[in-house]
Amino acid sequence: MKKLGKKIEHYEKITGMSKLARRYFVMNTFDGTLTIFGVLLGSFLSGLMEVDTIATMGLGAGAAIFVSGVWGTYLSERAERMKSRKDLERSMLRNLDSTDISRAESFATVYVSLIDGLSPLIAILLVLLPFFISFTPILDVLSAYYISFGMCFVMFLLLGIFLGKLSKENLAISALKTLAIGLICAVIIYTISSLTASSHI
Amino acid sequence: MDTVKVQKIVLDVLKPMEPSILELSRNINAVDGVDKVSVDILEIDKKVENVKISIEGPSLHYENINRIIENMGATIHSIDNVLTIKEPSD
Repeated sequence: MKKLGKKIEHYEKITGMSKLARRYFVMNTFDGTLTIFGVLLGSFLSGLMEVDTIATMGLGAGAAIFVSGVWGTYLSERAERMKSRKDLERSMLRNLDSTDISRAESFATVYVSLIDGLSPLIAILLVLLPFFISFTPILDVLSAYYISFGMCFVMFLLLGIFLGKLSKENLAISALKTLAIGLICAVIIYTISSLTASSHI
Repeated sequence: MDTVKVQKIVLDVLKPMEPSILELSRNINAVDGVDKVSVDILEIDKKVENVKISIEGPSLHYENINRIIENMGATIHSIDNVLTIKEPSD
């Protein structure tokens, strides 16, 4: 285990993957939270109260975003890293297969791809948690909606604080910025919902 | 029969910018028989750098050192200096 830790540390020094993974983590957790917020707000405004339908829709969004995150990042990261390795091979006048460089790059590609796919999925599953609970008599669907919306806003705030800490900016301003994005999204969905509702009349 | 031991090797190496000379030095130092490693940068290019690596120890094994250097994506251009000693057998 210690050996594996050392190896990962060594790969990190070669590729600088943690910086990239952190960026993907924030970007995609935000993406996942915003996606599920949109799905839930849309279904709430349409008056959808069937918990199994809501859960299926949410999980469907989660599965799609997971697959898209993992494969999209894997393919693009791999292509980018292959290109830079080929450039390096030209400068080094040697093949770099089976060196620590190629091993580190393969590891970094898989690592950031998983972060990219898993972070929005975890965010979606967390926000959907009240709906899973509402399958039991403990929680009704309406309360699940309110708790989930609350969780979305808490996650927006937390992501803002995390970004603020990272950039050493004012945490409150940074948190308010991400919260504002959530609110803008809510206004857009509300407008769309009003337009589609009026078009039915 | 006397045994000849290599106690110092100076190498001219072309390496990628990453892993850094710190990593390279640490990895070479982890090889059995290596006591001291010193790395000097001779030239920096866009993606690669040319370094002089001075390795000292009671008994150096060139093959092991070469394997570590190659594994880190670097290439030995030349061996610029070697110090050997003869140890008489008892």
